[in-house]
Amino acid sequence: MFRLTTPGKLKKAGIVGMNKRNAFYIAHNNPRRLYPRVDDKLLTKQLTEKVGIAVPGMIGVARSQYHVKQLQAFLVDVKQFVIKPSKGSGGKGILVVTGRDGEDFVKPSGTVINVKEIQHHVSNILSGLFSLGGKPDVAMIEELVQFSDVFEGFSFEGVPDIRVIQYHGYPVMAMTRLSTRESDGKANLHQGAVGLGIDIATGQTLKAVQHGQPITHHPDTGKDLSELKVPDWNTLLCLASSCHEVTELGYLGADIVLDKNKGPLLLELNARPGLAIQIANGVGLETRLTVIEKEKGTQRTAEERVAFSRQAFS
Amino acid sequence: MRRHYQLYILVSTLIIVGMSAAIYKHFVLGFTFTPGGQETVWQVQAKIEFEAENGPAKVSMIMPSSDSSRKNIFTEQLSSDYQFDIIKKDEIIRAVWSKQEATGAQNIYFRGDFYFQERSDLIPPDIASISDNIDFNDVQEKAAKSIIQSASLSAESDFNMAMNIIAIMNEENDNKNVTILLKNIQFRREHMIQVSKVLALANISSRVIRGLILQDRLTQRSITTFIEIYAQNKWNLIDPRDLTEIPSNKVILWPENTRGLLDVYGGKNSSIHFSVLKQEKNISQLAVDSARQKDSAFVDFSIYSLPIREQNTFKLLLLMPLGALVVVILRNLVGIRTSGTFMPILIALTFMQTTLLLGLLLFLIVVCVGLIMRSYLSHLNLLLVPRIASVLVFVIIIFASIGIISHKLGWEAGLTITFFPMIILSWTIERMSVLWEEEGPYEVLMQGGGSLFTASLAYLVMINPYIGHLTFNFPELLLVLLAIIILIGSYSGFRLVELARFEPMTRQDQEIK
Repeated sequence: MFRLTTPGKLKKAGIVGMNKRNAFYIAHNNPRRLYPRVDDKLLTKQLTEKVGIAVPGMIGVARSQYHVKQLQAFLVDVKQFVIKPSKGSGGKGILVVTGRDGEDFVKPSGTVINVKEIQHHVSNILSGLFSLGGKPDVAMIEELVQFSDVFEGFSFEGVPDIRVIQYHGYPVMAMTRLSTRESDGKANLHQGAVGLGIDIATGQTLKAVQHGQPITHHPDTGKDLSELKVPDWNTLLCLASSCHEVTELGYLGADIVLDKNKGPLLLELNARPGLAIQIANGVGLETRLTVIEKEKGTQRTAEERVAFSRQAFS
Repeated sequence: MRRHYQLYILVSTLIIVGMSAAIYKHFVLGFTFTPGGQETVWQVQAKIEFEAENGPAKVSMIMPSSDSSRKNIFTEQLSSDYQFDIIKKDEIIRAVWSKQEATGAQNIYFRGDFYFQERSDLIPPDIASISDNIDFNDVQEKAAKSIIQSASLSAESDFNMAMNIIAIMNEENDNKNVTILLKNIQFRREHMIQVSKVLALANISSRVIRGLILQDRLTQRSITTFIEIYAQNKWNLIDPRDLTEIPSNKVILWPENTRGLLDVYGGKNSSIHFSVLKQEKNISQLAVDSARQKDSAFVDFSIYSLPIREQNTFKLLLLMPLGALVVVILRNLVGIRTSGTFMPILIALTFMQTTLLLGLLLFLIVVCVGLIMRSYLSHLNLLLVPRIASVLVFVIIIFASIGIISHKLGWEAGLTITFFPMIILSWTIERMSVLWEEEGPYEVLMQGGGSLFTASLAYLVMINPYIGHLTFNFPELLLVLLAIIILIGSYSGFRLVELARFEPMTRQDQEIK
């Protein structure tokens, strides 16, 4: 496990390291003043919705304790919803309600909670319990995504999202993370989740890795991982690519989920996407970023950029 | 590209300025790059007393010789009501005090610190010139020759011969020849000049020197006349009263051929007495004192001009950039994850008080107990600030328990727990607990271990006596440190851990080929 390679070999493989990502790709392409556009999920949603990017529907926003009191009346007709902090990190503070039991609410696990608990949760979000550094936050109430069943059997628990990394609006690499029993249902690669590289050209899985080692079948469900092909691939890439105009960030990661009825929906954006995607794809990012670097001057629409990428990286 | 030029210019400027200042201090001001040992410093205080004659008074004292082997590193004038000057004339330095109106008994104090390096400036005397000064008449010459004759009887060397002559010359009243030579001589110094002449007649070079023997805690000591003889290819300083040889590092000497050591105008019954105190001083401290004596702006506008207590605080502060460098190297070049960016430095500072192993042990105890207590809090869903405040209370309780238990067990080392920064520890516990919930125990182990490893390494760097000496005596090297940190900041290559992380990718590369 502790085999070392040489920097020369990594460079030859075009792999981008942390220092290079931070000092070069992020520092040069992502001005800090633009960060709120991706770190504040409410702002992201408002910006993207305005230009017609598909996002999970918004039910409401709770901004103050006054709103917390109104929650019961506000949610009276809503069967399914998700409450999440606008500035939360790492999926913290997300409450999912999949059904109603009279006045009460049913969570995906089947647990029933009452409105008091919902209010307490929202109240916690507002006081900054889940936000970075404890800053006061607002709570977003969103429609529940009706997940597409393409991932049936590919994930131990939960529904995976698809991450697309783009450089100056050109999709360069994509992956999805499948949770396993070992990762405790979490999509965290170093906890044992499976990283699945997705071919930018086709939406077909490329290869799968767990703990940095190639695998072919899901360790828990036994499903052949090469069978997965993401539907609506071009729409998904266009959705990701169009986020570039909104955020103006050069180096950007877009997390996208597949809704059964609405197709790809943008879940959130990330200005500092991780580097594990290289392992899942078996390709160094730099090989692709340098290709895009040459296209920076050319004006293209999102569709044209996707077409360029699908051809260049096939 | 332009940004890069700027960076390199900045970095090289920093390095050049920092290094050249350090080199200047080393070669010109005598600062050493290594800590070195202790050096004996003699603190000599002169007390001049006289009765003023109700008018202007002027006191002039010849300063002891200061050369490369016998260094006067510090002088201090302690009589503020006098105007004080140092006058240098014909290689003789005088300290001069003057006052327009002086009445009654006057006291003037003057302090000087001396230390000795190895003597290397031994110039053999010009024997002929000394012989020229022999102004004996016939009777005196006959007496002198007779003394030489009796001295040479049992003498095997020039040195023995000289000692014999000095011994005979001491027998003022018993020896007829000596009486002839010392006729009409009152002062010790003139006595010694006569001895010197006899020695010259026996072809032994000698000179009469006045000086002060250095012995710890001497008080009310007067100046002594010594005779120095050239024998066995070196100068030997002899105390003529008891015929002992005095090592050159146990005496301060006044220049040759000076008459009055002390001149007082407008006063009478003047006297000068010396007291001596022996001190052990660090060599680097000597360089600082010596440089301050020279009024070097480098030293005057530096940490050394602060009071000792504040200097010690700065000693600790100056070590922190080193800790920061260790953190920068481990995070950006090696890729170790730590919990809290600079928390390891603070932990390392604590280790300096508790020692490493004990510090690690106490840290682990506090964090582990804290995590257990914190896991209960997470059920309560408290808000952030009250939650950390509660953890802080836990930490204080743990501190107190460890302190009391260890004291009861007679294990006093446990009391050093109080050096740990409580707020930082509380934050660490809070952060690790959140990490545990979100990322699992593996991540906590990695980051906690990384933090402790970084702290230990930073501690080992900061505790190193050579590095400590360099940072304190050459604070300008901080600029060099800054340059290194800036350079690392612009490094965009791979981290060491990435060589392992991405290793499978290069392996597959080879399989394809």
